Amino acid sequence: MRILIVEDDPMIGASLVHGLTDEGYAVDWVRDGERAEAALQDRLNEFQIALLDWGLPQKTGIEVLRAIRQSGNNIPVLIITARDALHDRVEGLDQGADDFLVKPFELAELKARIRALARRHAGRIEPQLKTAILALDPASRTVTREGRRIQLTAREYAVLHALMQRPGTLLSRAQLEERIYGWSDAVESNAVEFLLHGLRQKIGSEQIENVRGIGWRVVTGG
Amino acid sequence: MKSLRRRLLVSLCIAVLVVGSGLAGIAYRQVNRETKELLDNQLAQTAGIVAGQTVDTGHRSRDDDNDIEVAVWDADGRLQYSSTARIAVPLTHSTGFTEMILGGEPYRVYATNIGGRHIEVTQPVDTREDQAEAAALAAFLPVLVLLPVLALVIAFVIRALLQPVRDVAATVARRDAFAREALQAEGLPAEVMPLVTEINRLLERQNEAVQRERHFIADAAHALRTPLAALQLQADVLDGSDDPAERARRLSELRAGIQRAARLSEQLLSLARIESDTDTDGVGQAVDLDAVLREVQALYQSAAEPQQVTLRLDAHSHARVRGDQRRWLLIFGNLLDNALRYSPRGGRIELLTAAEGTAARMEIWDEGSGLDEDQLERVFERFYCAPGSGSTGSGLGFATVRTLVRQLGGEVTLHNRTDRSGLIARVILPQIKEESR
Repeated sequence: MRILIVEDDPMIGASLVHGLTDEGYAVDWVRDGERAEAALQDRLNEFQIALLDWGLPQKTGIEVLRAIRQSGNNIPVLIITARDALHDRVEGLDQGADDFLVKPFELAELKARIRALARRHAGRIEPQLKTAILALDPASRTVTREGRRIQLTAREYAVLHALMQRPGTLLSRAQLEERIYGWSDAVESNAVEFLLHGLRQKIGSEQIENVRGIGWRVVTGG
Repeated sequence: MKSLRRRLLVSLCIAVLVVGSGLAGIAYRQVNRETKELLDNQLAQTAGIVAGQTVDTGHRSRDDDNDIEVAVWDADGRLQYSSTARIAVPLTHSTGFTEMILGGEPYRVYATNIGGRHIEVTQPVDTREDQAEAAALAAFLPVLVLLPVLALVIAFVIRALLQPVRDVAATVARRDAFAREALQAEGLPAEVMPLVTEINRLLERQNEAVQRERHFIADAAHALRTPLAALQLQADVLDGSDDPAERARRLSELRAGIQRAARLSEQLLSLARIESDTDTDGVGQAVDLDAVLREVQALYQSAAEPQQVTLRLDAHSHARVRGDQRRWLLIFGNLLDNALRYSPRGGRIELLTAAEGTAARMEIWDEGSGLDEDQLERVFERFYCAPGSGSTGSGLGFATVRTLVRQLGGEVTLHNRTDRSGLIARVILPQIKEESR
């Protein structure tokens, strides 16, 4: 899953990048409103969630939010701000924010809210992502095959997570790359294939189907 | 506490009492004297009436009420008539009023010679005194009775007139400590109005101060949130990586975060202290501007070294200005901190002083990126950080500097270098003349 962080404080931004990268997310970080809007409006960037600071240079968070919502972008947006007045929260939510987190907050809470947003956005109720055989728990970042725990690397987990967002949906290599690598990550040309190879060995190669020339999908049925 | 009402009441009552008794006393004496004159006239009139009568008719020519007795002698000195046998009125050869003792009692006697006869009219002094007394008392008593009435009226009037003052006091007493609205000044007497107006002005000033404090606290809470949020996250991600190098990097980030929070709280305290600085210790002192700058340069030499920034000093103003060492180190320290933060590696910061007429000028030139024109003034606002500065400054440095410089009677401004090759911080303040050293 790919997350855009919009935060002008260098220390908070850097820590958010650390914390979310550790979690296996592909993370990109911009520090002002104009770059944030540009990044979000670019359809090539497949961000699943945006963390948006309210007080930003060039363009405020609310201006960015208004602009992307007006252009029909429905990406889940989580506001992170030091302003906790009621009217700030109300205005943020009314302008199209999906959630609101007041600084200072704990990383654990942010991660839980990100999971909840992703879940809601995908229209799921259950926190776990499931096929007949596989189960992925975003909260504990564990994957089980028929109840048996499977150890995955962070990247492998990210690939499986992307595929299991909507089990059965085909994802191309470019789409997978978009979702598991940030701008700063150097991506080898066959990196996705390499990851998928490792992943299939661990969870059973029949669980991921390759449609030649189009992409991959997880198998939904048993 | 002195009660205006009681003092008014007491002094007015004393005045009424003194003037009232004075008036009563004068009335008493006046009436007393006039009554006696009246009685004397009566004696003379009686004599006149007796003279017009034929004495031997035996007609009683005496006034019972006034104890007036009459005696008549013929030209030969023989007593023709006496209205009483109780006292023997002696034949005096003089005329007019006299007093004599007859039968052991004092008498007022009027003697006159009319138509060859000698007439004497007498009246007991006691009777006269009684009558004079009664008349005087009749004049004196009403005043005495009216005095307490007057005192009551005075008390009532004072009470009524001072009611607005009591009303104002009651309103003030009922007020909430943070009530903002002004006191009602309508319908107040002109003497009370200035007091209420002044109280209202004071309230206004206090409201402003309270508002300022509230803003400061809100701003401070807001400003503290960002470094705290950073600290929280920096601590949260500490053990997220297994790579020792990454862990070390995150630890050093946490340390930087702690330093930032510490610096912010220090600057908050420092600014709060300066702003509420009622003790103006040292403000009246005089310092050598060049010497202060030399000291600042020496202090910051080591801070500039890691960035290979050169501090160049050109301080030959020989100016003396108000203030003490502590304030000046804070002022230049903050300005130099900022210059260093935005200086490029290997850049140069120039410190210079100049004396211009009655003013002294001090400037710090850096080779940073300068500021947008609309930011040059805004950065003096508390907690304001220029957007896009990407710095982790507290937003208090320039605010602190301005507060301090203004306390010393000067002004501080920021200017871009003409080619936008850096920022100039300029402090201008009055010089202290040599003689006053």
